[in-house]
Amino acid sequence: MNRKLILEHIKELGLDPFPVDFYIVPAEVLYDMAARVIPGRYSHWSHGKSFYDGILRHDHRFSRIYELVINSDPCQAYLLDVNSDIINSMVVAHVYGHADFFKNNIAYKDSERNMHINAALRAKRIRNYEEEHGEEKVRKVLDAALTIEFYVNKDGYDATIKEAPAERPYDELLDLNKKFVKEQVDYAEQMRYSGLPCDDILLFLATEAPLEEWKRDILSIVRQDSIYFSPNIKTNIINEGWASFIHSKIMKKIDLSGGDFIEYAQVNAGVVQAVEYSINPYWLGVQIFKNIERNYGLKKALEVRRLESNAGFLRNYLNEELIDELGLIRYGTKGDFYIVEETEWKKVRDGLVNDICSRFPSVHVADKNFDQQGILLLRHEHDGRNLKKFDAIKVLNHLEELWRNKVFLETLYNGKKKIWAADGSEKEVK
Amino acid sequence: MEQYGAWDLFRRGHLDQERHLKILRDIIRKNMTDLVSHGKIITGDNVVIPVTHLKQYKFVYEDPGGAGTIMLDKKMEKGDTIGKKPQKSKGQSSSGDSSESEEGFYEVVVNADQIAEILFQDLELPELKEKQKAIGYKEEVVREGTKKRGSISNLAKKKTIIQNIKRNAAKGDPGFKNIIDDDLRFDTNVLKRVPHDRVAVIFIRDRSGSMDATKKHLSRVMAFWIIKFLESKYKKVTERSYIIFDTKAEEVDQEAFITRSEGGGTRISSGFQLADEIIAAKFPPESYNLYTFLFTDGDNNFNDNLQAREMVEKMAAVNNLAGIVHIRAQGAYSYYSDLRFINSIKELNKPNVIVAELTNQEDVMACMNAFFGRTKK
Repeated sequence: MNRKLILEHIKELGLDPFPVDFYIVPAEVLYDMAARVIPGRYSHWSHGKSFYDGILRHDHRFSRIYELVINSDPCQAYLLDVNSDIINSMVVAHVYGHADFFKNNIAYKDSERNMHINAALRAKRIRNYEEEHGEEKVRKVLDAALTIEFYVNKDGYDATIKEAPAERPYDELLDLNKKFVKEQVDYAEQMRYSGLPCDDILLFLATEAPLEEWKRDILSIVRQDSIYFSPNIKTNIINEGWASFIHSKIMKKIDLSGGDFIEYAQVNAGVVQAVEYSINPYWLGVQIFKNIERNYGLKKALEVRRLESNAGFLRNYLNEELIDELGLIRYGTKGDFYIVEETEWKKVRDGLVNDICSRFPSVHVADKNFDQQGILLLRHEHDGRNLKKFDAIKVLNHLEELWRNKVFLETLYNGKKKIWAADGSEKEVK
Repeated sequence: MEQYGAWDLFRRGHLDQERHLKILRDIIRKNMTDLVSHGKIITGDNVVIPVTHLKQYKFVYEDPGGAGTIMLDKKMEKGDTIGKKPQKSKGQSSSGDSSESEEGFYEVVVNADQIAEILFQDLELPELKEKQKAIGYKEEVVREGTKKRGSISNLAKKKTIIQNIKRNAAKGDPGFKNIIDDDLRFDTNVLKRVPHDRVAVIFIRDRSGSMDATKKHLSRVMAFWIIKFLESKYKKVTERSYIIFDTKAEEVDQEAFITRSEGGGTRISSGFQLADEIIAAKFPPESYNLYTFLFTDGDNNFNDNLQAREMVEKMAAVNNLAGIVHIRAQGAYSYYSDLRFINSIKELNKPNVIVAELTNQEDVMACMNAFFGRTKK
């Protein structure tokens, strides 16, 4: 495999990727990275759990990860050590697709590009807290913070904490403790929220909950991770679609022997295959990019990869022609059977956008002194879908550990306005 | 292009998985009473425990009940049937693995061995007396001492470092530096005869009519856990013997021990008498760690009480532990309970004669604690 050649092809297509550091690693390392999402991120049982699940699935060949790319400058790419040469050609092209997307898509404009270093620094702080306060206590705070990890808003407070840029690469590794102390002071001063209602629940709790400094710091670490991940969540389909679209274009330019081609085709089919009675979002992303290139040319495709997130990508470019060609429909259930519920293309598209782009219910902090009793009131904005009460109550229980008072959730359930409490009780309100 | 590293030393995934398992074990421990009495465990099957704590809860939508967008390979019209809904299958997976069920619980599959490991960590064997002869020998490779020459794979790092520091300190320049060949120390491995324990357990059960099905079942559960425990401590319980008795005793196989029930009258001494004979014939006390357990509902022919008590004393002399499981289950005979035998045993006041009461399955753990608990005295 010739990486230089692949990079030349990439640039010829008009892509402008970050430089990439490639690492070839055994499966265990790759699955650990996938489990903690950023290498070096703090230890938590949930990472172990998903690591173990991943490894099991890998060993039983149910699924396989070939690569993992970290959004940083330079990008860090981890490749499975048993990939064959031809698979690695595909994977390298795919990685450059991601590296290009990370650099150019506007959702990643404010990304922490030294996240792989910062994550290790934060992990070090959490390790220190574990030594000082015990694993159990740290875990409880992490467990609680992770229940609301997606409720962050990087624009909710504009002076978000920025770690001081390193003077030379890896400088900060030299004196971790000094940096550690300095950062803590920064957090104490900067963790402020701007007012209610507040959709950045993590920031609100870090500011207002009666927490020791180290607990506030853990909340801020979870929050920063989340802010870093939020563009990934918003762009997973277009990003994967782009990288797969790019790797198939590159592979067409490489001379493959018959056997190589079959191996490539098999793996490629596994990654971007169409699944009957389901949808592989990556496959869908590739189809949309192919359609864009066919109708408007590659230049337009490059513009789309710069400007769109999942929502705009699907809403603007999943057109009638494509929906018809791919045979997409909305289904529903009738008794014990699945039935075709909708075939009209706009409704199919809107249903899909809704499924993919609003996966997390919208919840914000509405009142911090509800009923004049210091109760924290969260409000769920109903969008036609009910919340699952069992899970919501578990979340409230975790939050009470941080708030050290009652935490209620106001929601609409089957058209009735209700307030749920952590003990499982509920009352109807007007 | 690629950077290789010492990735084989990378253990973080496993370390975090260990955290995950630790939490799992804590949860299992908290539910231990339920688990021990779980009927399935004693047949050696895996048991599915619902665990609610191990899911990362979030605010989520209710399951819309099967709706979404899919692709079809053929043209269909609105209202057409696509297919039958699949029956939800329960997650079955290898031990220690978990899967999400409909209720939003995690189901963790555990087997008896895993439970035993957790269960027994707070239990220990009774203090051993001069029983050390009660041991067989087998040959094993063991580490013994260090020497100055050896294979590098046997390098004794700590001792080498100490040697180096000592040498430097002697020169007046303390610190760990300038290793020379003379500092190196190597472990030596020698073939040695090492003692290994020989263990025998004797279970004695009253088979008279008063031992109804419930009481027999409790005996079986209790015997199961005793063996599990001894196996966990001794690696393998080498010998077992089962005795049932009414007025006479006989040695039977495990199956009969669990099920048989007939006859009338009860002479507990007969059970112990046979146990004594078996010990003398098969398990000489000087070469076996012996454990004898009696399962009784307390009823005994009153003119046998004195003799039975003498036999218990005799048992105490040769056994590491003589345990009496007093089964007081509700049953046909529960209106009348003769405690004279049990009380006379309690009055013996010997540290290795222990009476534990078993009323229902929830008491199994308490009984195990009575026999093997660290705080039993």
